[in-house]
Amino acid sequence: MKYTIALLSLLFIWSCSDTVDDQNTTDVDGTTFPDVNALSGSYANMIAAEDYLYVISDTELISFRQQEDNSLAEIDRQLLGQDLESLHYRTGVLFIGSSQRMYICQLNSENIPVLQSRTLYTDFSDLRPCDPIVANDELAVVSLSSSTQVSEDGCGLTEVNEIRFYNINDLTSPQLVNTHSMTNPKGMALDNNLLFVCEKQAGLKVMNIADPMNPIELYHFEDIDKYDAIATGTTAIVVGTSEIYEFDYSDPTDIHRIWSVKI
Amino acid sequence: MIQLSTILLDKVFYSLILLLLLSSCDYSEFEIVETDGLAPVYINRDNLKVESESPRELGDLGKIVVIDSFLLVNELYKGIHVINNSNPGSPIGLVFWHISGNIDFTVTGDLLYADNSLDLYTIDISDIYNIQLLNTTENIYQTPQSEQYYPVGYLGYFECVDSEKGIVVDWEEKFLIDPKCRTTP
Repeated sequence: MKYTIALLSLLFIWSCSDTVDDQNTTDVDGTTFPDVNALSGSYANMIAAEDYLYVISDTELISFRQQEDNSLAEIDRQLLGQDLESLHYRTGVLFIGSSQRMYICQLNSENIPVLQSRTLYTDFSDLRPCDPIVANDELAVVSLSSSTQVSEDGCGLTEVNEIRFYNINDLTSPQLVNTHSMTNPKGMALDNNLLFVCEKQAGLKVMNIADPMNPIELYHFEDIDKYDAIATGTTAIVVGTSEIYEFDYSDPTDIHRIWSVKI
Repeated sequence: MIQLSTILLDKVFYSLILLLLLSSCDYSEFEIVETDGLAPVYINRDNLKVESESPRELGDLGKIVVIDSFLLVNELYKGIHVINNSNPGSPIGLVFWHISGNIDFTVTGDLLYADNSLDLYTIDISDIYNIQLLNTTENIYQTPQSEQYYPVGYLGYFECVDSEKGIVVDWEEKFLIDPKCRTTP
């Protein structure tokens, strides 16, 4: 595809961040954004940040503000696109995934999202992958996957199973840096440069993405049906259809499972 | 007379051909499908439950949220399991928040926002063993979200969700006649 070729031909050099991935509340010019104190999975449809609540429906991004009388006041509603599926918030920026696009919105001074960019995944309208998105300071990582069992999870039939790395130093123009083939990538969690990818029946992969041109697979925990993950800073909670696992990653050279619960 | 009967025979012959052709046509787009499938189970808004209950077994899991040392895990259409993970080696189920029809949720501070096929609820979780419904925001979606609902993990026909019938709290097996909805390959 002309799109992929054009972007892949660009090479980027950047420095890796050494800081712990905490939920910063300030951007470069000192504006503060509402903080989240809960960690959501990559398939979230609603995210609360202090007094503000952001919700996606199938087509819209709706913003609410909690009132002191317990009511929820709607402060903004905007039509974004079709098949909106996932919502991710980081430092005043909302990433919304649909079956065709990644939308990036920046909160303004009133904490209302302002659309910065729409990035099309593919030119083919019949490809409808599910696409959770996670981000760190420099990259948005998108997992695109087909269904192994025909629409069992609502994701359309596609030929694509990959994760994509977009440089987001300029939110108005995300740059595709690399695509990396996977088996059946679903939910993801990202802590700085440590990426957890749930590969459904193919298990859980943990990768170092400090250099997105060369993601390094560190671990592959197999034979479990894993769907989504949350990274807490020291442990990763991984959820399947009927089980929950927790992995300790405080030492990335020794990532291991510490408990699991099965039905 | 011979000519007349030939014409008649021709007509009969061609009619028979036509009948044969018609009978081999695929009528499926005109057929009413009758099949086993799933149908939504509804409750009235008046019967909505938002309350703390004793912890229960994990069933069909949905979304997960981590806050402080708690894991909150959605049980599809039923509510949220609250698990204490302050000792990462041994999680403990503390309480189950029964929220009728719940699918999505998020938390901030002492507030839980949770939805079902109709409404969005603001719930006070400052006492996790005694949660309180503070506010109901109705019809926040332009098209009722319920119309996008389908039984997760199921392949086949199902009865379309009708938001006028109430809150979807489950799916049940049902013999369907002319269903309009299906999950498709």
